[in-house]
Amino acid sequence: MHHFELVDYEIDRQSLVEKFSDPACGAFVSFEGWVRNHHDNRQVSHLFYEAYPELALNEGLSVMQQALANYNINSAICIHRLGSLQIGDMAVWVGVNAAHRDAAFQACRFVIDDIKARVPIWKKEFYQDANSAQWIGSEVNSL
Amino acid sequence: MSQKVVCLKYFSRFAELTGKTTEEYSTRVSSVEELWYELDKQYSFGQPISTVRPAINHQFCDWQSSINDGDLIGFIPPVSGG
Repeated sequence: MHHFELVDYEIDRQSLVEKFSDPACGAFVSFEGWVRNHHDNRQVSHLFYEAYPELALNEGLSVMQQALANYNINSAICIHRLGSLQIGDMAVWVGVNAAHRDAAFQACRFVIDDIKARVPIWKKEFYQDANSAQWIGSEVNSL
Repeated sequence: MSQKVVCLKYFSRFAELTGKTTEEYSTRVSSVEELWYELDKQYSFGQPISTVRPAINHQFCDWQSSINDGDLIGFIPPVSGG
């Protein structure tokens, strides 16, 4: 099983974890990306995530397929949230199960690293000082 | 160089710069690279081409890829998901 999805609502980790129940698997590893309140010594008030949905789904699915092809795992799921998120909200969830822990840890790391590097999703940070904001990655103040 | 009409898609900072998320655009250029430079003259994206990836019809492509009438073309600024 592999799955990549974009959602505009709160990610429900419990319902995701339940999908990984598998008597052949002795390891389950997950990663959660949460909205933090600081970046580069600035106080972040909230975030906004935007995607190019069609291309993001193509690329995201490709990442999941590569994880299954390159690591000895049974299943991999990644869910990324879009829209306005507050401090502490979960922005991304990755889950991987495998017979053994090494493959699960490595594949989980591969998935989150590749999702961040190549899937067309953008994060805009809003700061508490001077009502400023910027799109991360482009390094140009936009508000 | 024949006239083509393509649909442009803008995201994140490029959408804010252009004030648009989509645009029907008429051009005579042949490649996505030429199209980028043509649009950059109009909108001054302020983004080095080396940090941008082009896409045609929802798939990443090479900068030398040809554009055809009716193509849906996006220029992808640096991503920052996660």
